[in-house]
Amino acid sequence: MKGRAVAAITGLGHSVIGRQWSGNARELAAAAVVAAVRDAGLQGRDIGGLLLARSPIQAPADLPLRLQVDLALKDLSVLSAIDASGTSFLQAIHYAQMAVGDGQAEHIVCVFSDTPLLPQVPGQKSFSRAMPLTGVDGWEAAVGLYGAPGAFALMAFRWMAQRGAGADDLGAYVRSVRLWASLNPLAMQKKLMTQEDYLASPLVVEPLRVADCAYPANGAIAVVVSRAQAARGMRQAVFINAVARCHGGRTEPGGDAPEDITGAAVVARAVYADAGVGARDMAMLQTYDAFSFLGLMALEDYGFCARGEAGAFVQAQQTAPGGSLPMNTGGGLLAGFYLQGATPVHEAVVQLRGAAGERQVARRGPTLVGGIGGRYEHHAAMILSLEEQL
Amino acid sequence: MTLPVRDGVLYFKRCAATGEAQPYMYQRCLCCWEDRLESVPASGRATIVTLARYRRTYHPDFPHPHTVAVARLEEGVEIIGMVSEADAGAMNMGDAVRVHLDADGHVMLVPDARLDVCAKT
Repeated sequence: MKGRAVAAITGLGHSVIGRQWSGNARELAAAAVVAAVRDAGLQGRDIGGLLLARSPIQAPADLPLRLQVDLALKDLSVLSAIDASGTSFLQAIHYAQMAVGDGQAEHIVCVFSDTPLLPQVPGQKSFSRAMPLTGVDGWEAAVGLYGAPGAFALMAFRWMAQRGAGADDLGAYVRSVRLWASLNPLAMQKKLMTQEDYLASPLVVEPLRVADCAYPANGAIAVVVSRAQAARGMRQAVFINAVARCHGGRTEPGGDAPEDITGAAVVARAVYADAGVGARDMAMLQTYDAFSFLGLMALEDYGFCARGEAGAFVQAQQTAPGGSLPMNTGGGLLAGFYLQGATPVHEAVVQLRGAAGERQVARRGPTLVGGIGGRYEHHAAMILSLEEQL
Repeated sequence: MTLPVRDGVLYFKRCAATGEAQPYMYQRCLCCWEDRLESVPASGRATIVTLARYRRTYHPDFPHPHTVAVARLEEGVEIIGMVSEADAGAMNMGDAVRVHLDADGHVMLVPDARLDVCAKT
């Protein structure tokens, strides 16, 4: 049946999240898992599966399957690690949903953990490697295309030119998420900005400024995914009404399609169709905005704005507190904290539970959660709500 | 480094069966899944697709300001290259460029109009 959830998020937890060093990725993951399981009112013995969402900037050994042993989890029917960059956490939830729906387990924990800020290593360093785009080893390094901002600036420049978007649009988006961040105790960039402040933010790689780039954090987030039947009796259950993924496998440059044909649109259409709803039915949008223009792109790709209209929509403060589409209400990756695909999921669950304090949105309705990975080659989307049947 | 360059010429991949140019990342033809991809010299003529201008230095070999561009070869494949400081300010999407491989092995994207200047470097 359309929109009928087979699974729900019943537990949410996180480790210390911050710029400081609070432990390695494995330790932070363990703390988040324990917090999520306790939040669900469960014990370790209730957990039948563990899925690890790995960060692309960490070695697999940093978040090993042996986390199971650290956590004294026994006889798991599901144990795996997932590596699809920024979509890994959404993927983990998707696999968990399928597994509990199939009866493999009653409760499965999904965890993302990352420590981009190592002692003596600033965040910029962690994200400054050459990002593979062409598929030819060494080409990016040979032309000096280092760092995620460089690779994404290529995408931003092209998208902005195609849409006629400019600094006013990027600035409006940044100001919107700063407003939300100012209401979020966990957020790291709470300072409100005027457009003048935005324009005073130093350029990193044109057209991107410091204020357009995510704020890396160390931390881990975990959720417990439970079979819908089991979730009915559990407090704070948030149902997963639809999930979809698209691994386009293509990146620009060198891909086989222009950048305006994206997997983001594919997954959004898929979850809307699966749940029998449309973008107009969404009460909120929580999505991956590691760079400001990705927030604008998401509005168009996910069907909230027609092509070329995202900038005006954001400038009209429709995504800001009090707007028609509350978006990235914790400040997003940009102004909240950058824990990749886990940040939007965390915020969606907090909002749907009504636990968002000062930033709580009025309508706790169906929420679109979006994720992208790599340089737009992995996509995932999910509709969460308080209703088992939409 | 394994840039598709031989004797100062940039090569691209083409399906031996369909003749379609293929993005470098693929080991098989997107259309027919044929794995016989031939390496063919590119004409060097290309069009700028997008640009990124570094205002911070990410690597000591490439101090800022430093400009990287994506260009589409006339054969249909996209590549990345560098744009010199002399050319970066005026360059934009849609500009016609030539691929120039300089003495240091750098892939440079040079406006058609400046090709003669670049050839002397």
